[in-house]
Amino acid sequence: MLNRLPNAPAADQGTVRTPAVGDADTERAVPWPREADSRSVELACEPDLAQVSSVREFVESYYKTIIHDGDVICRMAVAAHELLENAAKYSTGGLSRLQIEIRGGANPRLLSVSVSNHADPARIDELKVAIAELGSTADAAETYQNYMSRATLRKDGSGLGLARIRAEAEMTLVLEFQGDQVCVKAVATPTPEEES
Amino acid sequence: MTQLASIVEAKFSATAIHVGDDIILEMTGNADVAAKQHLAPLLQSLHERAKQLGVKRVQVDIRKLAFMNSSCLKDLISWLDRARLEPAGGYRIVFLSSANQHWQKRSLHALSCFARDLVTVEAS
Repeated sequence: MLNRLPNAPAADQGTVRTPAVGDADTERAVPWPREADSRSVELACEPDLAQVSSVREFVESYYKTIIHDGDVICRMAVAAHELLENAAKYSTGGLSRLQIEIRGGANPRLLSVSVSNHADPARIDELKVAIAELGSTADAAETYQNYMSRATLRKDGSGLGLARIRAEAEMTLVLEFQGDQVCVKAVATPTPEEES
Repeated sequence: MTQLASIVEAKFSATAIHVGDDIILEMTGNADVAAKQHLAPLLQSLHERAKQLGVKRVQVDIRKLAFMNSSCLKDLISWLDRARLEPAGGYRIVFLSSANQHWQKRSLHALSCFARDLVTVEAS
């Protein structure tokens, strides 16, 4: 089942946000106040492409002991892996921070994965454009196909990571700036109809 | 049976064999940065061999592949793009996937949409 944990409404599926200085809700990229049924992982490391799979395997193992829904774990893993690889490729140094929150216990109803890091200023405009494009599309799968076609023409990189999160993991993408840090957050939330 | 390729990394391996009308490529482990350096040349080589040998199918067995990153997906996409440009009568590509590896269903669905007339996905 591909839609067990649906996305937010289309209007919210890709936004660029710059919080006010000291904005408590976004300073540490925590999307919502934590609840009793929330299970979170927060990990800071110096990003290295060779170690991304190890981190992904760790968070997969952690959540497999809590959540018995392999599909939700796979969506989390895709987002965590692709965001961490982006941080490893484009961070300008220092620690990158991975934050994952899955709410709802064994029956997840909210999934959030974010990675924040010091970003290369030259990449930020590209990131803004990609997230705005992925947010404005009415059909994420079709847009992903377009990204795939473009990927065949690229010499360097695939350009697929964020589109993969949007289409395969069916997650909303949000870009936030916190001082000199950039945070890319991927979120899936239930629709009101499914909550009832 | 003829072995066409063998790649062994610490957390990734790939072997390709020619059997009858098929080439069978099996990948195991994590297809990430360690696999990336091998994958594009491997797939280019298999494309050429498939044409030379006149095989009907290339089976890609990823049942033991724990994950594939988007860089490696790009290499698969580029291969599919080359293969679908071949004249009629070229080879088909069959992905053998595991229902237990949930990412495979999602990624292979996207790949099969990209090359709809070329790709078949079998899950077990």
